[in-house]
Amino acid sequence: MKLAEVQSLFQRSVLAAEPDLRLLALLRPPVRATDIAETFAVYHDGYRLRMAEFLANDYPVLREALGEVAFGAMVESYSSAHPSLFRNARWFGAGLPQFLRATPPYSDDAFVCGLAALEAALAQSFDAGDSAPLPIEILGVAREEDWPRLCFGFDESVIVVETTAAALAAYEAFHADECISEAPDGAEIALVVWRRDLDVNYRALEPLERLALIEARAGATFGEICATLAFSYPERGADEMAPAAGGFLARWFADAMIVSAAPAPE
Amino acid sequence: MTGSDQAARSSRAQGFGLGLRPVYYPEILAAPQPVDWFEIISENYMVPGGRPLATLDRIRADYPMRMHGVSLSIASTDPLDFDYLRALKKLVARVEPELVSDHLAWTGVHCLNLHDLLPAPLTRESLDHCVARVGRVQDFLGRRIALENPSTYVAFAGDEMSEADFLAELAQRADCLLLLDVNNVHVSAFNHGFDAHAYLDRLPRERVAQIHVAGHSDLGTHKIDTHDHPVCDDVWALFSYVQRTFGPIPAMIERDDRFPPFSELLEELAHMRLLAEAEEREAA
Repeated sequence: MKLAEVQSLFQRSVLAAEPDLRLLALLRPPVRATDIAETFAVYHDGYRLRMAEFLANDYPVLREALGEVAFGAMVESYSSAHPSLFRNARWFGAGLPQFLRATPPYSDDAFVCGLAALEAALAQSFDAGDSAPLPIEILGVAREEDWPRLCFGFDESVIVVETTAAALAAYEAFHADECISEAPDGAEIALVVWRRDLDVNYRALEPLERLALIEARAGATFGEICATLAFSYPERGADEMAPAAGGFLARWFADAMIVSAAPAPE
Repeated sequence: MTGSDQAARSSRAQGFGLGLRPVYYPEILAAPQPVDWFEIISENYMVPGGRPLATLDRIRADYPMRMHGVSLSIASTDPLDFDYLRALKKLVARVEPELVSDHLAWTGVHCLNLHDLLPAPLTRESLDHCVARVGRVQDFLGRRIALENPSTYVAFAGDEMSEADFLAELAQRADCLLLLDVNNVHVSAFNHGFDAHAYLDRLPRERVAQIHVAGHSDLGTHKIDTHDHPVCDDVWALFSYVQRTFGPIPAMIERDDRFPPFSELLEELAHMRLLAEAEEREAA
């Protein structure tokens, strides 16, 4: 059997519930174990233990909230659907929130989906690319007529995450060494997660700021952000939107989220 | 002496190191430690930025470093992953390590990664395949790499040579270095019933650029390379044998689970120094 076939068969035997008998026939009898399957289990079972460990490292609160058995079932389900394509195990669990949102019974559980989304965002922000924040004083040199065309670049660690109040409460309880329970508050909330001086921070976003931040991160100009806010919240006066957006912008600068600012080409 | 031999020797200045693990960052950053160098797991720092790289830079400013990978997958029949190699090369430029190493193993095929060091069949076909790939990797990185003997739990009935002979020929033909993991020799010798000393005697000592020792788990019928125990007496004895027969080679302790207090690891490292120095005195 050619090398490539041997490796395919070996890999299939690790991923499958039971090793392929054709693979076991290619292996030397074990020295002490009674059955070659016993020593092959080091690879077979080890694979499952490692996948569980990777996800437990990235999602410690989710693991605590689900409990060992349910978390193990979720790991098995995710690993089967999304075996790792990554050289770095760091990225293996990054797709878990999307998987949970799309896969019953998890997709019906806003708490579980929200908790996974929150922990994934925190992990992503933790080692996102580095860039130097821009001081707000930079805006002082912008000409008044350029303001509507100003657009902003954000630090790679800035992430808007949709979660639930219960998931946030569970996360905070876990890190305060308190028992976590699925709180009754299932209200959906938005958070911004970002890194400053190597530490990951988060805070809640009011709907208006959430929309402004999503637009700004998508490359909208200051004028476009104001227009989108006015369109989305017609009950509020359009003339309120520029000061509101300006306030958000000042806070993003203060939080060291913004790394570039320049007028968009006309 | 060939240019290759000189390069191998230059990386053989004696020194005693530890695997750099985040759990020990506080102690390492707080005060100078009696550690000659640290070895990093390369993939742990192949990330865009943030605290891992910032901490790495701080520690690198105070200690020499060596880089040890787990995902090169040199024995895989999948094409070489040049995205991975580019990221590795970028990290090499940042760290300026004394040595870059990985394992004689494959981690997956068909673009999957099982995140394990899977055993390479010890055949001519496999050897030729590895020789060609090591050459391409070294050309791409612009430097020689070292390959580590893995712990294995199964062996192929169709193997055409011993692992020691495979590694010796691979190192010679690909002009690469070897990282000798003494614990892995002990574990595989137990699992497959070969003589560990005979294995060591077949390795080209001038190619061995670094030594690992570690703890393992003994399950009775087989041993597993878990790095979660102190180094056992049998492995220390094998380490002394290597010191005696190979001469001084940079050596380190790997610990990856059930982390003891840092002071205990330092005691183990001090023990390693004593053993090496005893063999050196004996040789003198």
